[in-house]
Amino acid sequence: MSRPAVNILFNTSGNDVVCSNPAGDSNFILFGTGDKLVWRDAQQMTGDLISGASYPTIIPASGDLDAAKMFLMDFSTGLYDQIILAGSTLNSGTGGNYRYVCAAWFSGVTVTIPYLEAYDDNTHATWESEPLGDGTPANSVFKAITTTNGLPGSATWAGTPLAGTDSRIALDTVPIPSAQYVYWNMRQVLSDWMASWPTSAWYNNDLVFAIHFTYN
Amino acid sequence: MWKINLFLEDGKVLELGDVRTSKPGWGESSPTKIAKMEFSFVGKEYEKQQPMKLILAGMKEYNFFVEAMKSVVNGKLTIKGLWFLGKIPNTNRITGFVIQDSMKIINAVEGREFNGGPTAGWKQGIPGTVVSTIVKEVL
Repeated sequence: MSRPAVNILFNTSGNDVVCSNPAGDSNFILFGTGDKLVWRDAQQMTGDLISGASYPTIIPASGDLDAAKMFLMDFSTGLYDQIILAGSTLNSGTGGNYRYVCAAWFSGVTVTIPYLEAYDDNTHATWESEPLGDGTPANSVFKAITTTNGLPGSATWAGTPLAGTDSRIALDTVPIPSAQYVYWNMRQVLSDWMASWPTSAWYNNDLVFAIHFTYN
Repeated sequence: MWKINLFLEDGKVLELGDVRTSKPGWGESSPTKIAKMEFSFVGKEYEKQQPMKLILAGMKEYNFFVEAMKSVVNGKLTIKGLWFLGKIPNTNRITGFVIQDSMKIINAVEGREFNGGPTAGWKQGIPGTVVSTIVKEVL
């Protein structure tokens, strides 16, 4: 079938409910051109101005620490909007056993199972940067879990590291048979060894998440 | 150019849409049994543009699809590959080609033909005829 439209949406309410409208509803915001995803310290709040103070995540002195909050930087409003249900409770994370957090709506069929993947930049060609594991996909700081067909199963879900096609998540168990939503949850893990990264790696703005799919 | 021609059991030729558009036409087509699939495109050989033709024939079933990537961050859609597949009669093998930055030959077990996963949308071929997987320059 012809190429399906793919809309990306994020749940910015505290309600763990399905998305009811591909253009967004009272819980889900349609990700717009220019919007960004960021993880921030607990001091950052929904409604904060993007042009205002930002509270970056802090690398732990030892061990691992989940980033406190995931935000949609909504450039249409100029505001931070927290994705409240994102993440798990591992490493003092503030998420949980939540299902309807991040969504992609397909307007029609795909030939293969769609995947969520992470890349160094918008060419979707490499996954070698420090945040994506610096050549070791298991060390990617981004972890995700598919929730299209059920809850993560535990508030302490770990997820799969995201690094190109080496480590990714299938967003369903079969190719998309007709218009439908797929869902996932995700977290960012900060580790003490990140302190050895060059500053440019901490502030890497080129990273992208991508939906890998097919049509005919 | 950039369109798939399906040579059918009844001698007719079915031309599909331009694979570079959002409507390649494979999914909407309902061909009778396919004897041969041909695809004409412009490749690059020794840094020179070269018209080429890809041919699959004699397969039990055929498939075609476009591999794409939608960026979550800016919504940009990128075409990553064009896949042409055939199921070899009397085996559980799948052969064919994928055109990406370069062209690769596919040799996979059924159900693992796309990066280790299955594909949907197969159309009936005519097993019993000569099996061919060819890419040739068009002079």
